[in-house]
Amino acid sequence: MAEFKLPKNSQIISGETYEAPINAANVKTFKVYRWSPDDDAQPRIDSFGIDLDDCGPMVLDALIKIKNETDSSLTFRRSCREGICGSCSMNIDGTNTLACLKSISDVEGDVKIYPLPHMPVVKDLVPDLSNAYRQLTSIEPWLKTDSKAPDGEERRQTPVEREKLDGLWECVLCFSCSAGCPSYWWNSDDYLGPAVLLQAYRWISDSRDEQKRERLDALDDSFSLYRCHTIMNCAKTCPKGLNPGKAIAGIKSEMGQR
Amino acid sequence: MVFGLSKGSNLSRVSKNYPREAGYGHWRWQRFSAVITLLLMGYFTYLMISIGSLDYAGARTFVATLHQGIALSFLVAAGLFHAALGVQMIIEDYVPLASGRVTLVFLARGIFCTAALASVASISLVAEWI
Repeated sequence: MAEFKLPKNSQIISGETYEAPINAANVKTFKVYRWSPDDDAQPRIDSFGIDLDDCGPMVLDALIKIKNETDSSLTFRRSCREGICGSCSMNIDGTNTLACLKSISDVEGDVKIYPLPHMPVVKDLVPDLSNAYRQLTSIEPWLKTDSKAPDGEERRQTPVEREKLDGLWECVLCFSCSAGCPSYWWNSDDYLGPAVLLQAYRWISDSRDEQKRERLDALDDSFSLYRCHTIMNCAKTCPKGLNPGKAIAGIKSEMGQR
Repeated sequence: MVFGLSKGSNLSRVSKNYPREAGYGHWRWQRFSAVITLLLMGYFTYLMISIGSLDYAGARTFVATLHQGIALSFLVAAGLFHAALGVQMIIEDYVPLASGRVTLVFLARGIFCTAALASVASISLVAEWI
């Protein structure tokens, strides 16, 4: 449930300021949310001046530079740095996205970086995704079959059947969409959210899966699926350009055809 | 190995906060009642235009026919049914279980049901069915 007045220990204060080198000509300021569970300090916004002539082009490059050269305690998830692993999802310039895919030059003025909204924070820019992963597990995201594969070989698809998975399999589970969905903000315990529902539709649409009906039955209740009110923040924010709202509409359509 | 997905099995482990109702029925009825209400609002507009120039007795005579009474009753029933479904959706969205979500849903249903019965009774009185 929404709390419209933040507890005193949640109010964000101004933090440290780290200036760019004096001889830097192309400076950009990064304002980064900081909070640690190890002390009782308020969350704060630290400012880091970065010389862009001595930094990679993406926001993740700047964060890594800050961690390497200015403040090693800055905490964030990252791995592949090319939009495949989904680790570095965070709120940059007011939009949930992947830091490795967000170009610094796309941001006008200071670059404001926060963790994904409406999720508990583990530390700094690291959100607690336990609930989201538990929900992902609940849809059983793997191929489920009753029959044996023909001649002990792989299960085959026609090109047309395979095409139905396009726009679904590309999801990297960064949860930018779920963290941007107001319905998920209010009911994240009960509503599965756009990321998990897109995954659910990926398996419902798979011609090789033989438990489509059971998958639909499991989703047919008033909260798991039908909290989606087609707000479409999910499609707007997805850093991979996917459309979870369309996938949810696909599940609703399949429900009607059962 | 055969895997089975029992209804709500893992989902119920994720979330057991709310008595689960089939969602598709509610979703389908919401859209069906919206379309019916929209169509009947067209009729209602026609009705308002038709009785706009009449005095009370003339308007009452115009409404007091079988087909007008039935159409108005359908409009009231469909509109309030749609409203009840919509209010339930809003309550479920914003009222936590611990704050009386279930009670509020039943209360809203009762209010809309009472309003529907009162409206149909009023139409019946105007049409002199009772």
